[in-house]
Amino acid sequence: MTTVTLLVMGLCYAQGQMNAGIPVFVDIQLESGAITVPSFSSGTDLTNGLETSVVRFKIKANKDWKVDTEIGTIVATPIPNGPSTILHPLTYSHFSYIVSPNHNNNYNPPVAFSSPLVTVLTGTRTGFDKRFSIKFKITPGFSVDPAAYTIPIIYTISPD
Amino acid sequence: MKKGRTYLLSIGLCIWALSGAAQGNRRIDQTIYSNQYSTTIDPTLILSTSSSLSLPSFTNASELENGLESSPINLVVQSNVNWKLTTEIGVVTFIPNGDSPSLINSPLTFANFKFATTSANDLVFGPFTPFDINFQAVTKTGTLGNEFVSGNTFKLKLKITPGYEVDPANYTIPIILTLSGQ
Repeated sequence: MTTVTLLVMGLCYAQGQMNAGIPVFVDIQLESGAITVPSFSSGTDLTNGLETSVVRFKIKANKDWKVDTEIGTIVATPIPNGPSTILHPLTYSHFSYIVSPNHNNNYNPPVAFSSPLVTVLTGTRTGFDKRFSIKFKITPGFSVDPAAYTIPIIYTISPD
Repeated sequence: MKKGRTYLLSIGLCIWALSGAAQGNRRIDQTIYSNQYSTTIDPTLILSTSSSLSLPSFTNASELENGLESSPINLVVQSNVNWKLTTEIGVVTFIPNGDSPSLINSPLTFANFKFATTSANDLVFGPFTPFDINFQAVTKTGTLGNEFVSGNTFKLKLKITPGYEVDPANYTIPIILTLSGQ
């Protein structure tokens, strides 16, 4: 009976050895800023679009990485003087992302979201804290219903 | 009995250890940061023109009977709601001229006006519609969108038919165009 017990404990020990290896580690943390999205109140706002505020992220990774950004399911709430039923809501296609890869205020040109989830930045393993900034531009035009919109934005870092 | 307890304890420790290892195996090769943001898009309606209405003077009987048309005004709507354009004949004022009676008792009114618009972005005007029941009328409706949406760029013109019941005078006619949501 004692032999059986040791055998089982031995299996547990083997499991512990497997977890002790160095795993792939990638991490993204918001370092500063909070995205605020302005309201659209004029034809110029609608036609030319408005930019959000900037957020800065810090990345730690021991492997080459990519940051995907997803415009989640946008929730529309009717507002006074707007339609009671939202037939033409804001979608990802009205968004562009603008990245400063090195957080130095040198921004790449805006890139339109071609799908709800896009890769906004890639990089090699850093060994130190890699920082980048991102902001968004929303251009609804005149084809989006007036409403209050809640927009989830999800950033995912994963090995490239 | 003692051996039995030891055996059960060992199995229990093993299960605990395996459980702990599973919890410690959270996926660290992927990290997610997410948040919710809010914005508001206000109802926005813009009416712009690239010309102005001009009204001709009446000089003969045929013009009085058959009426005269104004020049067309080019209108462009940009709106993020379905819209309507209301045209109002404002308070008509007049100044007697050399041919006027001493007292203007029968001035020009909204009832002498008709309007017509192009159906879509073309030059074909629809039939004239009278303002015969009110001084204002919905002259055009359209759907949300910019100036390239069909029907959002169009022309409007007025037709005035004074007939023989309107006193001769110089008339000033305010034309008020109002764009609003449907």
